[in-house]
Amino acid sequence: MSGLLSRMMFLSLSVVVLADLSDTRAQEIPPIVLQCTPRLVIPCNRSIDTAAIPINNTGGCGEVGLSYVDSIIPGSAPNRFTVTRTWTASDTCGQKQTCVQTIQIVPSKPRVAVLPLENLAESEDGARVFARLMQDQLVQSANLDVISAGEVETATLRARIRLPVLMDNDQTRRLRQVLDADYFVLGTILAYQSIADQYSGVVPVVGITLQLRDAVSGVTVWSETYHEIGNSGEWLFGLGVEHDITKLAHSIARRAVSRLQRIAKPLPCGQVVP
Amino acid sequence: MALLRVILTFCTLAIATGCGGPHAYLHPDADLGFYRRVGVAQLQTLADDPRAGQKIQRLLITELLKRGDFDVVVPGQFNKVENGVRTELALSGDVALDSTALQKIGEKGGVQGIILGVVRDYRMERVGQEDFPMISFSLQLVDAPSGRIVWDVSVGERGGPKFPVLSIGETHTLDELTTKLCRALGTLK
Repeated sequence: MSGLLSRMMFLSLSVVVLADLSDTRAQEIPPIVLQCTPRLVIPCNRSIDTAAIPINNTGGCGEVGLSYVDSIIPGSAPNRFTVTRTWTASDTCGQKQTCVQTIQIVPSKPRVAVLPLENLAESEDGARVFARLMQDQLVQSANLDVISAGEVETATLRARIRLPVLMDNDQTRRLRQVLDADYFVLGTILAYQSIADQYSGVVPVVGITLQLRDAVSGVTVWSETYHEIGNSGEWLFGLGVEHDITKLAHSIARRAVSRLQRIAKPLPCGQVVP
Repeated sequence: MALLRVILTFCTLAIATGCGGPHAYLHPDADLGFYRRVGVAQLQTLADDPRAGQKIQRLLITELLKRGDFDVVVPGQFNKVENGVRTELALSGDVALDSTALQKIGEKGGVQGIILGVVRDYRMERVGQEDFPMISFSLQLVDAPSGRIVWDVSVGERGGPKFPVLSIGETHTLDELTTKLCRALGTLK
């Protein structure tokens, strides 16, 4: 008898406990937390698909679905406009949460990478010095987006490209994917030394060939050779002679970049909104 | 008479300063329009500087690209094809390419013509108180499918003074003289 009583008490207690648990669960459905970066500026030739734009959602019950609706506000030019993207997250319990993101599309700048130059000169440092001078000059250009030297070095090392000037098409494609570059600056240093001139004394000499290669098509779009000698600007008894090799190289880099920035064009902006 | 004298003076100056340009052989049946896409093979080096071929090849490609006579294959891609064929036919790098190799390179590289070359001199020479560059090389455009020579040119020059005492027309460096020689090749088309 006592056994039956105790069993009944246990069952009734279990029912109470289960009822309490289900009440608590109903009360404690975690709300959906949806966070999106409110304002983004994206070049028009880059993707603005969902994978490229970070969005964070937590909470909710069951599976939480994400969707968005875009509305486009035209701008001053076809490649300059604003996308207002309204994100909605909803779960199986019927909860909904929204957040609004403004994506400003701006004209893109071509992304340029200065690859390590081939050194056929006697001096060991010429190629590295000149590549850095080119990089510095390109960075100052407002029309170009220059990939950092560190990023370029790491990518070429990982892709095991020993001589970028002798890259084949596969290597060019792989490097483009890693660096997301539109153009590569390639070249060979032929002379980076000082010579003795009987009138001007010791004068520096720099010789270089440079190419701008379209990273997408692999076509060389620009090619030029530069030779500069320190006394080429001498006009009277040593006046105008350049004795500093770095300054001489710098003047070449400046001239080359002024040509490059006119040739390097951004990829056309097509369908940017998915 | 005065006009004739001026013309003669200019001609003499042009010859003296080497503006006459190199003499080239062109195959009488050659149809240069056929060669839309060409590749520049590794130049053979007979000069003291073992990298002379590479240096001239880089400058030659730059000048060919600038001139726009042909669509020049990216050097790295062409080297890959050339090296692949050399390995396949067991030809080392310093052995001249035969017609079988040229045909295979043409097919694999997608080119109609291949530019071959030999560098004979690439050095600095003492002239009076100064050193001047001395370069000579020859180039050939070979028809890839047949291995036939279409165009052949040989150039050579010293960068020293063209006139006694005056330093007009001097070239002081090897790469500058190479560029001058490549530019003097003239247009093929």
